[in-house]
Amino acid sequence: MTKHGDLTGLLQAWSAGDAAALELLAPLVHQELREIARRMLANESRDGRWQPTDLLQETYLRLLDWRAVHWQNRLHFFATAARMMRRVLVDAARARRRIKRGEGIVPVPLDEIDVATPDPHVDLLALEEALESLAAVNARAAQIVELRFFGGCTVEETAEALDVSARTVTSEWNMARAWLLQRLSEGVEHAR
Amino acid sequence: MLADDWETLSDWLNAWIGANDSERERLRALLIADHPGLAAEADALMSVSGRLPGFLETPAAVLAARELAKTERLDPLLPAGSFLGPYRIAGLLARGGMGDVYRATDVRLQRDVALKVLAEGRVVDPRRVERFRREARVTAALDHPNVIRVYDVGMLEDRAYLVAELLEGETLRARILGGPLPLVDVIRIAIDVASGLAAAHAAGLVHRDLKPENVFLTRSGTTKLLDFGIAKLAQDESVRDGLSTLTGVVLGTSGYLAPEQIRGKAIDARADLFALGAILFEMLTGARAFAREHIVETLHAILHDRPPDVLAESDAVPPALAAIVDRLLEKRPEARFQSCADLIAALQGVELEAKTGRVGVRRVQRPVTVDGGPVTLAVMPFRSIPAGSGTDLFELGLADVFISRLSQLGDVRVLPLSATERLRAEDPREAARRLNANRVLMVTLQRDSGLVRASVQLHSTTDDRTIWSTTVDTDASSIFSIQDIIVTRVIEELAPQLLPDARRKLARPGTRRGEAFEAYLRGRVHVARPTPADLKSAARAFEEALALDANYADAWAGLASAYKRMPVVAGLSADAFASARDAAVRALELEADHAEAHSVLGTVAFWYEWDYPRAEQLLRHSLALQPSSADSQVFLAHLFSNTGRHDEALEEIRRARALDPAWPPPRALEGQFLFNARRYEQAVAHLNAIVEVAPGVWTGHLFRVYALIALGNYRDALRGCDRVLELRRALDSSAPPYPHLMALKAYALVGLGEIADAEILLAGIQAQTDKQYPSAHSEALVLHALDRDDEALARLRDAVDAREVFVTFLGVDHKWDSLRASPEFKQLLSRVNLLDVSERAAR
Repeated sequence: MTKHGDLTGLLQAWSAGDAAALELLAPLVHQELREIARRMLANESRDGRWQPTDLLQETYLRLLDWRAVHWQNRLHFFATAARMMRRVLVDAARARRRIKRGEGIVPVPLDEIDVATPDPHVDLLALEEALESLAAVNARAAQIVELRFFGGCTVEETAEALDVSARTVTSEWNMARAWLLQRLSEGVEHAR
Repeated sequence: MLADDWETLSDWLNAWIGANDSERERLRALLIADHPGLAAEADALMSVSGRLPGFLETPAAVLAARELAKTERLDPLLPAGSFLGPYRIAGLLARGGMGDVYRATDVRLQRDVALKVLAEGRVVDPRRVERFRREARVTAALDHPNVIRVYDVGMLEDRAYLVAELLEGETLRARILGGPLPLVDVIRIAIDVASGLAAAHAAGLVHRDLKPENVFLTRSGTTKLLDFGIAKLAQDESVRDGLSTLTGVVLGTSGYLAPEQIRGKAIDARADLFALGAILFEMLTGARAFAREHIVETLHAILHDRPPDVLAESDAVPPALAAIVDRLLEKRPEARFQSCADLIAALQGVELEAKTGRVGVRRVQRPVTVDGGPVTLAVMPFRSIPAGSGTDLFELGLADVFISRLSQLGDVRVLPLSATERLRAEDPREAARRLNANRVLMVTLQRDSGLVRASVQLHSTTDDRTIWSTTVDTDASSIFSIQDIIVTRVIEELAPQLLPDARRKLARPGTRRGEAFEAYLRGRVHVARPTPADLKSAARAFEEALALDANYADAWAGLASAYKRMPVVAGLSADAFASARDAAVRALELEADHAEAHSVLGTVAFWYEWDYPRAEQLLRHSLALQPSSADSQVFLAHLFSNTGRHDEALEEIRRARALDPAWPPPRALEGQFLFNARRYEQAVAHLNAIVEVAPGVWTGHLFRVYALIALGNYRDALRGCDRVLELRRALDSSAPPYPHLMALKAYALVGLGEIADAEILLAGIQAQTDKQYPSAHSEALVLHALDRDDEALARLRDAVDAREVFVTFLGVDHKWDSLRASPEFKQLLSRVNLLDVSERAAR
């Protein structure tokens, strides 16, 4: 059984290239997402609350060990949360594609990775590729996308985390998304 | 791309997004002139800009969870009648993140039990199963009246389950929804919780997750501690909490974790005492001790901020009790009470103090001046001297009783309490002038060791003089006796010709039991508030009064009013109407001319019996008995509106408004009646004005949503829905379920083509099978929007079977227009006696 307290260690191991760590990490994230899903339903009916982003924030708090890590500031916290979510989701999407293509042995069982296609309109793997190119062009813009889309941060939180104005975040966010959209549409055309 | 190019293009793109067509031409020309090399990039960005709204705006994890929610709702529930081992399922009691709780019967013992089944999808998480087993072991070991009893735990058909005693009642969370609890209840509950905790602590256990959701108040008045799922042995060296180790703890309600828990230090029994302090604070004030926007901020506040001063939040709290709360909420465990036993002793001291009082009636002084003629009288909420020493019970409840008695005398126009309460902080003379009252009655209450002195002043605002004043002394337990004396004197001064009639009316059977009167007053204060918890408290208070004096007509009528309001105001099951009718009949047996009882019967005939002519007759009779009853007038107007008599409805509601022109709720209703009359533009304009001047009145926003939907303005309707949610939440701190609003939201989402989101909302409504809050009409509405009309009609039939309040709108509501010709729909309409109304609406 994996103890939650080990999660930060797992995250570090995984970041450092230990692929086996994913096997332990992904189901936990998946479980938390299920919990959010259930509470979306339960809360909606019970008291009219509908704030999935609050639930998300809560999930991060639970997943990222509050005790073992001294969060220096909100950037540190949000950035780690966003990076973790990005890796879990993208990796699950990759695993799924491998299964589809019938390649080799997969690190996670098939039925645990249906988080891989969160939105039919966003191809997570194509987005990941585009996002990596974006980081090479403008690192801050890529970071904003990571915080907003994978971290679930509001414009204000992102601004606070990066120590820039909300206005800057908004305009960079627009530019980054347009850039990504354009890149993704090119991809579609190439595929045709 | 170079860094400079990125910046140039970003500035350009954002300017371009914000520009209109002609400016865009110019912007593009400018860019190409300055940076000819960027033309291609700019055009590419331009070409995708139309797809920007919405792109990546929903967090990835939320999208993932939303996908999961779709499969989640398909997970089969245990249906009623099915078995899990020896347990026969009777129905779902609650759903939550951890699992579902069913009402079930252990068929071996024929014992009713609560069956908790761990929610599991395909991933079996050993932590959650372990938590389940631990909860059972730990709780079973504690045999204490204030701890829930656990019978069984195990695994059946691949499901982890836990069986516990079936409790009837509500959680402390539900009770707190209605605002602060009465002092005696607070102390009793706190002592019970501390006793249950003491047993756990004696067994070496720390609960670790104490919060109002885990404290259950049974109908018989016992308090039970629930959910020892994360309790741990205190001696165990490893008892340390970090948030990450609190698996299953709902952090959203984490305002109860002790600072040492958040820090991940070793914890002991004193962490539970901190949580109890936070709960005490909330029971006394109705507000959370560490309420913050974000969880991170709440946790930070627990670590660093002082909780607000209880005495500043609520004026009814004895300082000794406030000191107990402060001590429990100390950041350092060693500064708190060191054991539950110490705490219980301190609480018992306060309890004793709260219960003392004495008896004896004294003199009545002669009045001073006399005046007469037609009057509009404002009875101000009573004031206590010294300020802050009184409670709403006496300040509002007693004033309300005066208003109700005086308004039964005809000729004297008495303003409703809603008007005077709003201006209670003002100078009474000034308040009366603003309300266009020419007479104002001011009463101050002064308490001195069990005695109450009421100083009464009748003041004329036309010539700004005191008409008369008097002092009545009585002991606290027979305060009811002052009302007849004062009411008679007021009539003598205002309209002596009414006196014989008044004497006859005042001779009607009231109560002579002090406690019964006090309970009645408490009921009146609660019954005026719109939350389910308040209405339940009101019913309890009236029942208490009746237990002491079963021939107390006013209390029967009050009970009837409380029940009557439950379905309409609080969205509770229509079953309450039957109870309302029974209670009103009892009141009329005791007093044939009871205005309030007639009003209730009229309301029941309208919403529940669908006998509209009789409803009109009863409501008109009630108005004849008590001309200034806003309630009867409002319901009469509603009756007209729902039965297609729109002009009469508007006329009647304007008359109700005239009683208190500034009171927003009737004005908001006028907007709803305009909507029912299909004058949508006018309704929106009217309601826009109302939400502007009274942004806090949620019904105004709700009716505005109706009209916006009718006009196809779904975006604003959605925003309006969120505003209603916010306001209801503010009213209740965590608002009661409101499937109706979810349905409106879903309806608007369908209008926008957001089918998936609408379906999730529908699943949410369906998941809520709580009988208390009917939702069949809401479900039907969403199904109808989704073009699933067969299912919609089936659910609508259920709504009619359950006599849901909303079915009385079927005759006029435009949302059903496309079904008006369908035979099934017509059949439903004739069941609710609205077929003719519908046919007029269809034309």
